[in-house]
Amino acid sequence: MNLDDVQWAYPLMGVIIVEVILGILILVKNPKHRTNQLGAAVQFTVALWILGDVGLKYAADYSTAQAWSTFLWIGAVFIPSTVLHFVALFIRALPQNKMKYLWAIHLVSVLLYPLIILEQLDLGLADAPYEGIWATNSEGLVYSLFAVYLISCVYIGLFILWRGFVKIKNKIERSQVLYLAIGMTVAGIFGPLFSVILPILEYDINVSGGIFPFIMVAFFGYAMLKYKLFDIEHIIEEAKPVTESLRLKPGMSYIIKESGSNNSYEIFRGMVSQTPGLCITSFYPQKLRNEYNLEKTPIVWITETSTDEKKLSPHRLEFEILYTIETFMKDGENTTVMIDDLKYLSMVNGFDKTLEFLKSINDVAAMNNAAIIIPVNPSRFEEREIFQLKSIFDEMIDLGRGESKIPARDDISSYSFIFEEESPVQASEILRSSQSKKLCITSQYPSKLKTRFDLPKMDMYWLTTTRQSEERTLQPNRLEFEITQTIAEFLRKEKGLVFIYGLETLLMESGLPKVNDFLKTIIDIASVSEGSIMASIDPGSLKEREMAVLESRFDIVRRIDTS
Amino acid sequence: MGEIIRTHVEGLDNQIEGGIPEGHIILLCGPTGSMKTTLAYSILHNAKDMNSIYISIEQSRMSLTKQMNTFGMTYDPIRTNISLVDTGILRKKLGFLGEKTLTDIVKMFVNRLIEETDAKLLVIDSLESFYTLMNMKNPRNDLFHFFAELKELGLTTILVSEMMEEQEEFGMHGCEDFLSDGIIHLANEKVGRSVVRYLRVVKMRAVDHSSDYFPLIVDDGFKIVVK
Repeated sequence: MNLDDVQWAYPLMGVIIVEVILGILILVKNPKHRTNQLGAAVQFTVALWILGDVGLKYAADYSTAQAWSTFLWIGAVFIPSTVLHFVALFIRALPQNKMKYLWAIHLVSVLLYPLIILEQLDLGLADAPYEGIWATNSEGLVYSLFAVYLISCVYIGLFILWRGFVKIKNKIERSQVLYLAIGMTVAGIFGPLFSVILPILEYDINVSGGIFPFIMVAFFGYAMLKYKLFDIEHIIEEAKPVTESLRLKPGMSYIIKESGSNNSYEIFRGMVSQTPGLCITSFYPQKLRNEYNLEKTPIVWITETSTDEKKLSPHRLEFEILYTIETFMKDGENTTVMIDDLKYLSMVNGFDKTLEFLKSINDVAAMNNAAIIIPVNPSRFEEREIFQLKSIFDEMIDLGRGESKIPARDDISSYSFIFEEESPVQASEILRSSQSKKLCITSQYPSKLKTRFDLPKMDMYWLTTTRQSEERTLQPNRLEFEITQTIAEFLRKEKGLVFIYGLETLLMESGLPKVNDFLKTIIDIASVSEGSIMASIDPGSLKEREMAVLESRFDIVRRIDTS
Repeated sequence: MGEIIRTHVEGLDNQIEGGIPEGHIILLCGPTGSMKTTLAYSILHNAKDMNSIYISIEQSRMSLTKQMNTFGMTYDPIRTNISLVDTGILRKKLGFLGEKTLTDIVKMFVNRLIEETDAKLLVIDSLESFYTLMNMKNPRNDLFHFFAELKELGLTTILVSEMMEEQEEFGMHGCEDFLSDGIIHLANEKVGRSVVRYLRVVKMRAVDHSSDYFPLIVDDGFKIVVK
């Protein structure tokens, strides 16, 4: 036995272990998905090939060598078809309903296997039983056929990948495809060179051909495991919707003009009892599930709060958010996707980026016959923006003024309210009647506020720039710092009620986007920890659009007319 | 895995799997007034169960301890776990040793302290002023050796590094960022007439961490706001 062979055997054993682990990780990530199954199969076939190779090297006699050789060729023969199948599936080279024809590629492998085994046993092993992969006889006719088959599969795969790479716009998918393509290019150039072309030209090069497929599948594994994506199931709701709502045509995209998003959710609920649905929302999923009887439909929460729910960061609009929606549409048929809180997404990412995002999902929806429902409150957008939205979507339905999103409840825990009143009369009534622990953040001098509205005992912080005060103070410009921290600490400790009186001051200091973000953060934390947020604001102190944006953050909006 | 050095910045240790892995070389960078020195010192101050070395090149020992006293980190020269070395002390040694380079002297000094006190942590404040003493001919090459020598000492090292307000690279010579094992960036932002601070873990080898900017609160100790 050659000394070099022994040196190769140990790293190859390591390679096998790595591949088996990669295969299992890919499979576990989303066991039901065909792409993951094939991705794992690619890893296993290459592992099988290398295992056969290592076994062959250590074979003591002809019959063991024979056994290992049959093993080796199972892997080797199925690598081309499995890789090609995987790549075609990953890139969606065929329309959804024609994907099943891809299985035909494996027929070639099935036919080739017995032939190559017969030829190899006949020619190769008898002469050189201990030489491992170098014992493969490169003179036979079937071997040449196999070489052609392997190389053409790799190059067809490469062609499909690079063509797909040019077409794909989605950034996550693009980078995944890039990794696949790099891996395959390396394997496509060096693999055939070392294990097919050089042996045919009778150069004796002592490098295991298994190394190049390993580099390829390592790239494959990295591409599939790099992003922390969750899998989303395509499920149809079993229970019938409670309320009869407007029926939309499947496969069309709609903008629903309404003041909240209540009607849109009802419409979405109606659709998902017939087609698989996905809801992307900035509101707490558990509330929506209860309110609209959405038992099974996956809901993805757009938030930065830590939670057990499936969540995505609002900043990842062109990355995970786009990817999640597009894959969901491509993997299922006649799906329905609802995106709630366009205003929030556009405040975080800018309107132009959001528009581009909508264009992109609208194109994918059109090609995959998916429906899109997007509630839009016209008072939160500029007129120009509404026209731009309208130009992208198929239809705009005007439902006018609806009720507030979620009807008022006696039990206020884990809800958020805003009272629009000149002075906090309604709010102080709630404060007096509520049994939970309370925290008050106010821009008025706390003890004054307390006497004026007869407030119960609670922790109070004064929003002021004055530093010398007996009261506990918070600087109004420290919105995402001490103010957020104080509220978050309070909510995480108890299921309490936080009262904010002085949004005007915060707006003056930090501007609408930051205040909007602040409200989103504390309301999300309150939802998760079953606390509540209540704010009171004088409607005359804000512009109409600012008011509309703030309102959109709260579950319940109450306008109290004192005139 | 080796030990972990907690930063004692509330919320930060959870973001970096408990703290800074032992033996890492960390670049702590930020513009003037972003609290780099105070943060670096507080990490040593709070690591009460291990001895440490603080090499201060810009600030004298007196002014530094005075500054730290105002943040409630009283320097008790007898019971302290920190060996505080300033340029005055280094200069004295420099005079003695004639031909030797500054890195040699620092190395000797640090080696002696390691032997005497079994120190586990080292801060150099700041990297830039250290460079001016180092008299480098080929900065990239010299830095490579400097980092390798630091690594050899086996200490967990924090290099305080000054950045311009608008500067994008971490480090003066554009190679400190990949030579180091971790980068913590402190940033200032002007809001109206006041300034707010953010902290970001740019990189931390062998640790799964978020790369967001976190609002940083400096009160009694440091705190980041995690949503």
